[in-house]
Amino acid sequence: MKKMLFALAFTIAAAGFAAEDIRIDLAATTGLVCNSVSKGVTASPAIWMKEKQDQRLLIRANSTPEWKQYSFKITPKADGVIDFNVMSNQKNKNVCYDKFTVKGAVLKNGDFETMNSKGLPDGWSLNQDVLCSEGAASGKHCVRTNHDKRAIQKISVKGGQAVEVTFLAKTAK
Amino acid sequence: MKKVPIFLLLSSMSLLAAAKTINSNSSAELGIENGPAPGFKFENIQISNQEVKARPDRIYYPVTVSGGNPGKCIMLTGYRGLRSYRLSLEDFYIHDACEVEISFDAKTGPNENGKYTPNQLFRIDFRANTDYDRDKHYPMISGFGFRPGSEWKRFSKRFKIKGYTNFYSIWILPGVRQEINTLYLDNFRFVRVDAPVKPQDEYAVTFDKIDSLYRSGEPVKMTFRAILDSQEKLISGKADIRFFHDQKQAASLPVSLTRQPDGIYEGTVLWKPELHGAFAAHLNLKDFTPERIGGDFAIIHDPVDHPRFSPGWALGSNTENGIHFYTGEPLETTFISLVGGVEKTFRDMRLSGQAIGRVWGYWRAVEPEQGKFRKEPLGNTIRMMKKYRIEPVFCLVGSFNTRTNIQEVLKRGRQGFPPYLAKWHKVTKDNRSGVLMVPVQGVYDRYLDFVLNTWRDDVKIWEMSNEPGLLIHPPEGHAKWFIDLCRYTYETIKKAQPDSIVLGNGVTGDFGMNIVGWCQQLNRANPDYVNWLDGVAFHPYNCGLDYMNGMYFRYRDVVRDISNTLKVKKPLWNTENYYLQTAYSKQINYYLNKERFGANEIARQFLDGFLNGVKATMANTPTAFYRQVNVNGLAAPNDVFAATNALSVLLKEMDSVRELPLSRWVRAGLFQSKDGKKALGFLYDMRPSGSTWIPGRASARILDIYGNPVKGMEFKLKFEPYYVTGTPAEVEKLLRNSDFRLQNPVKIRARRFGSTTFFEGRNMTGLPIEIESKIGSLPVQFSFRQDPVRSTIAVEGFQSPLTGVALIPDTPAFSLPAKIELENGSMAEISCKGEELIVKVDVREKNPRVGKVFHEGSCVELFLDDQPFRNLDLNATYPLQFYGTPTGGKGVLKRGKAQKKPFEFQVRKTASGYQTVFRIPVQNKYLGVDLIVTRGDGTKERIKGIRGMSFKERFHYPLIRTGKKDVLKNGYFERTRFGSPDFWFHEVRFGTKFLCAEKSGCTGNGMSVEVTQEQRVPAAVYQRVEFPAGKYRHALLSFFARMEKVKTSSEGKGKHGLFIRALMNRGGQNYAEAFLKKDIVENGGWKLYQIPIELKNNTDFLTVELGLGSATTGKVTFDNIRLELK
Repeated sequence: MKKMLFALAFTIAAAGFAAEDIRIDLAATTGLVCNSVSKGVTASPAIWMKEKQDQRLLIRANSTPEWKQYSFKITPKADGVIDFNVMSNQKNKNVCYDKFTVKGAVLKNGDFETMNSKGLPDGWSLNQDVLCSEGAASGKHCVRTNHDKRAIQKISVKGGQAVEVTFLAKTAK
Repeated sequence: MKKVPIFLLLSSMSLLAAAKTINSNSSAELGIENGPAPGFKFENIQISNQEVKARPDRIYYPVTVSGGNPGKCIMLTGYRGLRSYRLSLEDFYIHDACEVEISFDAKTGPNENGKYTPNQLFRIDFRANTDYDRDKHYPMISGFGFRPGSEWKRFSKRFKIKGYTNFYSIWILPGVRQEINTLYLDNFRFVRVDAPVKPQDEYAVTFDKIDSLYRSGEPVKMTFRAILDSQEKLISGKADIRFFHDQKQAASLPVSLTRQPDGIYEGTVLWKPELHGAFAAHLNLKDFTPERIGGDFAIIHDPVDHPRFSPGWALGSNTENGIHFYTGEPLETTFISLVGGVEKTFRDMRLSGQAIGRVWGYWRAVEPEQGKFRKEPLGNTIRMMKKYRIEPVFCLVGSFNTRTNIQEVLKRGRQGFPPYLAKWHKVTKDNRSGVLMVPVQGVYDRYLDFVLNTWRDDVKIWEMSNEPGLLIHPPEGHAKWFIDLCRYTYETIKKAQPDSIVLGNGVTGDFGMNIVGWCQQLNRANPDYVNWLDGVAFHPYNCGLDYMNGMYFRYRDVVRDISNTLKVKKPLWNTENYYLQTAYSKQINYYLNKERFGANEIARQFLDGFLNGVKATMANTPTAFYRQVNVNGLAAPNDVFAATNALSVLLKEMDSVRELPLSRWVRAGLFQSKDGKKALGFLYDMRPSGSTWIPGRASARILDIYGNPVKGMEFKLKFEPYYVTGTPAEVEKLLRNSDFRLQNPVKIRARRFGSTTFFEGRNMTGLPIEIESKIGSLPVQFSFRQDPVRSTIAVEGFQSPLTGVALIPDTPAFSLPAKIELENGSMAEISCKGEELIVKVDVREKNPRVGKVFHEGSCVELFLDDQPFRNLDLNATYPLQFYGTPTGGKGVLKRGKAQKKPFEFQVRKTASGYQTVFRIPVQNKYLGVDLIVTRGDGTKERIKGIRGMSFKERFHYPLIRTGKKDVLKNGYFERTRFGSPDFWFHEVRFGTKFLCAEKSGCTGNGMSVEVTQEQRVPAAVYQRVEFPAGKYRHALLSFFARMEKVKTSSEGKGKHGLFIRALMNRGGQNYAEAFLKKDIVENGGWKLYQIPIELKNNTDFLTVELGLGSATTGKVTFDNIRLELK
């Protein structure tokens, strides 16, 4: 019964989030504190994780047809690693992201311009079809993600050290 | 004096030796000869119109006459023109299942026509009246027929009954409708079959006026007749005359009771009062406490006339027009209620100060058959009203509403409309009701024309039928049809009477929850319908007072809500509301019970109406003005009668009214005369416990609810209004400069456990809501919704002074597991495992000796107070006393009596003595515990420093905390990292800020929620707790909060401002929205809140959310959040 309820809560949460298609999940066993967000952005704990809700933070916003800048600031509660999941809220709706800049921690290749030997953006885990070579905000490349197609990077963080993230996003065509 | 045979005396004496009857005046000896019959009354009687016309002023009541079996008896006269009656005894409340017997002697004689019919049938109807909170129908209807002859004969029957919440009735009814014999009854005994033999000490009070109605200065002669278990010739006592509504003594007069030849004690008293009001005369005897029958009477002011439409004119009721279609020959007979007489009905209306009366103008009474119109019997009602200067409010048609099966309705023949209208019968969409949507032209217009032409000179106020909007799912076109009818009515009447008043709409019920939405239906059909009425008739059932059952301002709200639907504002007229909720106790859910209320309710109905802008009130039935229990033959005018009379008189010359906002809980207003020279102020307290009213100094006179002058510096102000008369300036001065003292809305006591202080509030107001109080200078809000008497809030780290708080002296506090040393070296180890308290005591006694009784020898006693922070005004609670002996004997006592409380006890020998182990199931987190070791030589060993009578008192007990965890984690925000508290979560949006910071709380860390830009959703911190589904039904949430610069951009009715919500299975509860219906914005210092939560839907979780609601900016900081689950 509880599993059903949580599944239901998740579904409801997801449905509620449907209008907000931009989604970046930050997963950290250290626990995260969200200090602030830019206009239009909501940062929510993952309620389905019960007492460990602070170990996954969902950054959400509505995308626009044109590139727009968003930002948020978080503080890890302890030293560790954050799984930086760039995705969207829906399976069938794609969102493009570009030009990630991070202060307080190191995020590699935030603009997806440096490629590795496989021709994929260095520092990121993603499939080929996530990489997009059209309409980038800066340079040639950006990523186009949805709920199942993600771009992920692990970022090392220090406890108590604020991390400020800025990025651009738009609705994918 | 007539010699009374010895056997009569012996019979009287024998009654004293029989089982006590449930009914009164069983012997029929307590009335005065040819006076009324104590303990009996006609609840209704039906007389032919011919007889009523011949003798309109006749009063009908059961009579005490000679010729009993033996002595006196009750006579139910076979009146000329009599068609039926219902003679009723008292209300009988029987709460236990038992067997009862109804038995009586009966005989019959010729009626007033001189006619006698042998073997005529009469009936006993014995029933339990429905309690609609339990049953839909009568739980019991039984009875039997009897045919008395011309000689006395005994009849009896037994019944097995179940105990019931509402009262049982016994009715005596004739079995025929013509030439009803005169019936005589004696020795009417309603007894429990197993009832013990007991003296039937009782007495009746009979007045020299049958209607028990007097004017001030008029002497009131009372005759007391009593059955007493005595042989004394003379018994002296007092006649206590008390105000009925509050039992305050008005007079105490000596009375001497002389033993009569028939064995009855009799005495008379004469009182010349200068008081007004409703009174009860009681017999006060030193060695007896007989039960009273009758004795209620009223002393009224001379009635006054008021100009039309003035406040004094606006008091009325629904008039008894004598037409009841559920009896035979409804138009040829007159139905008289317990008022007792036709002309008396109207005379009493006038005497009680009523100037308006609603008349039901049943269509069937006017046109019983198609095309055949008649003026009578309605004409008689109109004439009587004219004679007594009561303005009729003519309710056209009666009601168009009926049932689904019209044929069934016609077959029963009890409908208020002529049968031919059935052809326009329509059934509602939900198939639950029916309605007659008659055509205007050719059908309704004929009725209206006749009524208008017949009574146009006497009727100037018309009401467009009764409750037209009662249908939940009306047929298509219903609202439009009704509006067309209204328009035709309005235009027709206005043509004939331009200055008349036409009332319409007729919305009924609790408008706020009105699922019918009648006003919306009318507006959808045509919002201009208001142009065809001068006023809105409304029936505020369940919302007709501004205080009822702990709810406030429902009357005001319903008036506002109805008015808000009107495209053009029109005045509201309260034309029906038979039920008023009594202020001091709840009524049983049955129409008869709900129609019975008192002086304060009727006064408040009128006064609240005036303050809410209601134009006139004629809401109640005539029977509301009479005592319906404890009747001596004829129902006496009651406190409703006297209070209405007083208000009417006080309203003389008054023209306008306005509200005076004196305090949150005191309702007050001021009437003013047209010339501006005179005023009538009034006030009452809306709290059940009332307050002490210290009037302001002014040259004005203070009167009680009956218009009696009162003197004093302070008065107890409750629901009964006080009136103030004088010039407007002085009356207003007196009221505005008044002080209202409720010294202690909450009496607070406290007890500490370490750094945690438990504050127990005791509700002094009687209100089952949240009550504000103070602990020192700290504002605190206790919640008394779940427990209207007591509530406890625990606060961690409370440092402020405890001014005004009684503190229980500290005792040692232990968190388990703990070791406690006793005086002489014995050791106790106390621990807790799950829900089991384990107390191990190592007793140093090498040679224990067990006594015959445990405390006479070696033993260990363990005293347990499982609610150490509750009932802090009571030390002597006789806590549970567990004991165990070295030989394994054990037990539990309370007040010395053995209790059935299972627990385990083990004992074993040790080197130094013996060891006992108690294992006791406990559930509470805190306990008070004391230990006493008794040695074989009788010496006692106690916990060091602890003294007291532990079997009786508990405040000296040490306290233990069992280790159960707080439900909410980190409620004090002590565990925080980088501004975020452990176990609390929140969403962050642009314009919101959350910070858990050191020293920002009330007693340490605090959690602040700040909103700089208005949000569409609340900004809140939350925590979820889980528990087995359905385990808890209630919860109490407490917390400190400090609001800074909190403001809302609009009134959110609880959605904005301070946000307090509890989410649970399939729902949630926003406190301010659910209970206050207004936003909480209380900027300033710290305040301690206690919030009730009702757990629903078998929930297995609760998510507590605290923050700021939508459309709100500012900052709120929280601390000390605790959740108690029950």
